[in-house]
Amino acid sequence: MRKGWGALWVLAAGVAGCGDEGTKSDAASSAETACVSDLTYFQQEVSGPITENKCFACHNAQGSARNSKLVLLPPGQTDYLRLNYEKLKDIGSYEKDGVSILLLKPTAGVSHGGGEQIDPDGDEYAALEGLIARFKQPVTCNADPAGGLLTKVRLLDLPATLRRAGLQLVGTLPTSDELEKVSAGGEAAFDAVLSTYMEGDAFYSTLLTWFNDQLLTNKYLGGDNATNLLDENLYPRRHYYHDIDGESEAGRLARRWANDSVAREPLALIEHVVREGRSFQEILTADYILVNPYSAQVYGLTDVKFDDDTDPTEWREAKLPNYPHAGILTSPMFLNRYPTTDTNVNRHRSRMVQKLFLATDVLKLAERPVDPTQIKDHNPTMNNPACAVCHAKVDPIAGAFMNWDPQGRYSSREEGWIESMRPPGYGEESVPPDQWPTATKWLAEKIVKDRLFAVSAVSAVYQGLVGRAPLENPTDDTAPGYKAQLDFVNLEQAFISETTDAFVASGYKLKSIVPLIVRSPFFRAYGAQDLTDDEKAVLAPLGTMKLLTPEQLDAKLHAVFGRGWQRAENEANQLLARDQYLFFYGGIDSDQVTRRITEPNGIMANIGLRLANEMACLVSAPDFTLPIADRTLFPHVEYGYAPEDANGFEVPESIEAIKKNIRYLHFRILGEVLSPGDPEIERTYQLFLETWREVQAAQRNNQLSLDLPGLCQAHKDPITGMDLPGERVINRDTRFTIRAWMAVIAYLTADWRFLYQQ
Amino acid sequence: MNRRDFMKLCGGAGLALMTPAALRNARAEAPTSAGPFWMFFHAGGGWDPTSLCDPKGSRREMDPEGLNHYLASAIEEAGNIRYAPVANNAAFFQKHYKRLMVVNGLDTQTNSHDAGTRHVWSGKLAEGYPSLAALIASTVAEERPMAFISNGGYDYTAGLVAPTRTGNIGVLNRIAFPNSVDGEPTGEQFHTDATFNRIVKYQSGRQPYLTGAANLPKAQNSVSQLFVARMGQNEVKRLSEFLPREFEQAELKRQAQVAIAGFRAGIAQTANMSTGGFDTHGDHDNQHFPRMQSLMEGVDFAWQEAERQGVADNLIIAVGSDFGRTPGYNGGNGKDHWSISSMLLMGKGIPGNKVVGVTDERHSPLELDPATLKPKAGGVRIQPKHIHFHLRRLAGLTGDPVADQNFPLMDTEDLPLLKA
Repeated sequence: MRKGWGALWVLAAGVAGCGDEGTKSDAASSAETACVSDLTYFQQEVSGPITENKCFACHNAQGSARNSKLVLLPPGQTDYLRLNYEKLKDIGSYEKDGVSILLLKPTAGVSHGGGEQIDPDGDEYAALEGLIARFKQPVTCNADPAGGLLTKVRLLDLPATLRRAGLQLVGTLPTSDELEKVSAGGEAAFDAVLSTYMEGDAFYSTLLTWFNDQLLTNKYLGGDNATNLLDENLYPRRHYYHDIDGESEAGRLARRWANDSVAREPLALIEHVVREGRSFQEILTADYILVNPYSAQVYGLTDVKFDDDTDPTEWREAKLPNYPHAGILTSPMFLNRYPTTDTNVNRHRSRMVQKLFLATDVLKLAERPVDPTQIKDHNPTMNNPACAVCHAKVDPIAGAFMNWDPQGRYSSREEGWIESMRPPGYGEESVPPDQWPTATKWLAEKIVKDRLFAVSAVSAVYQGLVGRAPLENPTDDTAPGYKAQLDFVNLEQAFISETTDAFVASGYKLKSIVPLIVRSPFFRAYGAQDLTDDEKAVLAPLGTMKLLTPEQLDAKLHAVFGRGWQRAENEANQLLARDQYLFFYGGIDSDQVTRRITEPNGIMANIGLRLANEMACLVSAPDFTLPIADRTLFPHVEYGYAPEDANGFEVPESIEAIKKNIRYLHFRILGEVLSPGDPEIERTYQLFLETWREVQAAQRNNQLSLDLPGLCQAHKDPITGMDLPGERVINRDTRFTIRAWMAVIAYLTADWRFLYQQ
Repeated sequence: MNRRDFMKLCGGAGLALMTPAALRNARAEAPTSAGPFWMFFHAGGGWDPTSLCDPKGSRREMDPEGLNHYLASAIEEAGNIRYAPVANNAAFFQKHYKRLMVVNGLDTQTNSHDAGTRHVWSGKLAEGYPSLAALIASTVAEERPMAFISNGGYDYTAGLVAPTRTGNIGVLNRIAFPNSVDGEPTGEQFHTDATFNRIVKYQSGRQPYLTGAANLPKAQNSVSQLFVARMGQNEVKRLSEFLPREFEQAELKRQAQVAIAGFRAGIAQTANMSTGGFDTHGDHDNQHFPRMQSLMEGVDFAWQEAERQGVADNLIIAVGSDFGRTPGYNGGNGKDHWSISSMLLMGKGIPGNKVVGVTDERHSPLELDPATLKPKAGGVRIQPKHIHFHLRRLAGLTGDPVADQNFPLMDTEDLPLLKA
């Protein structure tokens, strides 16, 4: 990992609100502004004006110069800039009479099929000379590619970063012990705490949410949705659970676990590989399928042994007969989620493999205007450049799925692949005929050795933590904001590239990615200072602030309040149930609805308000039934603490305790570290006080019942769930404080800092 | 304070919101005019115009060169509009031809689903432009809580406006009345009205603190997003007044019921309607025609519902797809991707009983004289941008600083598409 990302930041005094780490000195910043990295130079001076504009037309994989040494990648392809740079660097090392071939070819100084493309006395020639000079003497900048712009960004301090990471990774708030350790021990202590977070089940639950957002195999959860996809002839026990009384608890559980275990298998493999600390490459190269006691029966794998035959979390590696496993690629769920047809011939699967595991959207390669009405070629996917630009990348991988039918069944294709298509393979390399029966295994081995596989893994984790995928290169240089977007993309891609290097160096340990991202400015950015309008435009995408997904919000509710949004234990989770607010609040079903809404609309805003009101109702009175040491929300007050006495005089001790508790709630619910007397504490206290006075007056005037709304009364112990003895029941607001605290809790829960990823 | 006032306040307080909210600032002084309601029907997967409004029949039975299995002699007409004699097209065209305009030979310039969908509904092939539905909603109805309802299709907003997705209609009352325990307007409440209003007021009072403290552009933008979204919280109640008592089973029709109720309630302005299943690489006719029929029945239902709710006079409907399908069948009796498509338009300001654009017998577009739209070698092909040019004008976007400066339709000829 380059020093830059960690060393850019220095500790400085915190700012009211969240803790931050301040910015670098102006002198250092301006010195770095002058530095232009080799890749930035290449992009600005060579790639855009010369190679993309002049060379690419012939020097591409399907162009007239496709057999030359210079075959360039299109801008739509991930990492194209770096790869093209490396290609030119290689060619630039060849010389004739001391002059680089990179200068001789385009000036027709030596034989060049394209003739003279640039003027030896022009700016483009000078740009190429500059590039060659950099090949010989690389320029290393300490700052980021956008000229040190990130140094103007304020970062969360480590304790605040830990809170953000804890909520996102495992849905918990850091303990006071953890916060103290991190404050005292710095990054080493921070990494140690983060490591403990990544040991628990909650981390894997989060991880699988991230990867299901990509794979979407959870579509098959529920009913017989997954087991129905299996061929009854191959798996005659696929519905074994139908033999068990469906009305019985055992029958219901068997059906649920059998189907869902089959459905979850690709995600379970990811968890298994990460949990065991193995190379992430194994998600594609695994020579096994994962089964638990339920799915083993579905597949008829009776010889797999389990410690507990009823434990659905007990996964074992197993092999299906006559089934050349290649991890997720040959998972029945994956093959069904991304099916094929006789005429599609696995091209859809190829596209998805590249999208999911190679960080490449091949459809983007076809975004340049095409005119198929002019295509007259025989077999145009092979022979017409407009078609071949995509099909050269799509078809070899499609061929490597040659033995898998539309239903995901294996059948060795003895006759080989379709002759009118490119042969099964990967890039320029074809599957050896003797490996055709296991072509997908061959493919998996190639994919995981491609750097883009590592990039895709880093990108998936980045998306999970930062809340969006890494941005892609803008393609329209005439569009407003192009330059700013390009600058940010360069900044981000440099980080992704370095994180990828570190991931590969770790032996493809997925967990190694997490601290690198969490400690980076892309996760910790909080504020900025003295930005010009141009700088603001560049940094517009920076930060993790986005509306929490229903799943993330549910986790946060549990972390902060110790419970989710359910009126009773056996009632639907309002955020996660499909017939409640899941879809209205932007959630997905992995089937028809696969894209999350990340900006709130009027409907979602109202759901946020209802959530705040209802949670305040559900948690306020019950928390007061607990001994003060066990309380989650009110550790500094009793509900008898009123701000004024019966004569309207202030009660200073009560006011002090109320404000102390408000300060505590700002930290617990919002993560805000406020000093006593902070205006935000005063604002919240005024809300409390005005509400208390209103309720007191209304109740004395018989305009409001002393009884709390039924849903807000406390009849059960919030920890044990047992009925409370009569003296601990709170069903009336005799001191008018419960409703005032409900107002405070609702106010804070509806806050931007609570509803948004921070 | 409404949304527009909030943006002016941000600008005045030196809290200039960054892209894309900064784009909105440019509009803060512009007058608001709601204009017509819009419904954009998207046939997901790439429809076959030759099975709809640009019919190409076979010369004879079993014609190996035939683009379709039906005969050319069986092609039917409704006024000036010719249509394919399949998928019960007659029911739609005979009923609506007087208000219907057909654009044939629409060149989407791509065979990619995503790119085609984007091109057709944003007017630009490359990424980065919002859907027309989002652009209109943000321009003329940005303060409405459900300004842009999206049921799929191309709903990229460029951050201009938040899309609304609908779910179980049964919970809408609880959403509309967030302070009511069970969603009943007069039922038990969590807080008194005074307390609830106080909470909302104190939240508003906290906005400057949040915007000032979290001064990263994205943070400021997201603070404003939430604040703006809350501005319409009371208006959501109106939706429940206009929702029908019973909902249709068909997905597209149900989408239409909610969208039109939103229009009628004055809380929605544009809606993406979406249905899939058109990517028929195999067994084309049997797979494609039922989808086509379902689509056109959905459009017909939407018009009926708009009439019932009294908004049809102020409604514009556009129907399109990713691209078209290849001229002729593949080995699996399916049709593959083809960049030439069509679009249907109807409603306020759209001349009816009209067809523009011409394709040849192999469904390739003929170039047109930009002045007369008659075929002329060396002329222009109709692209989505040409249609968007006029739709933007109908929406009142001409001169809008965001549309013109940030999402301009460059190099676009003013073709007389909507000339009656």
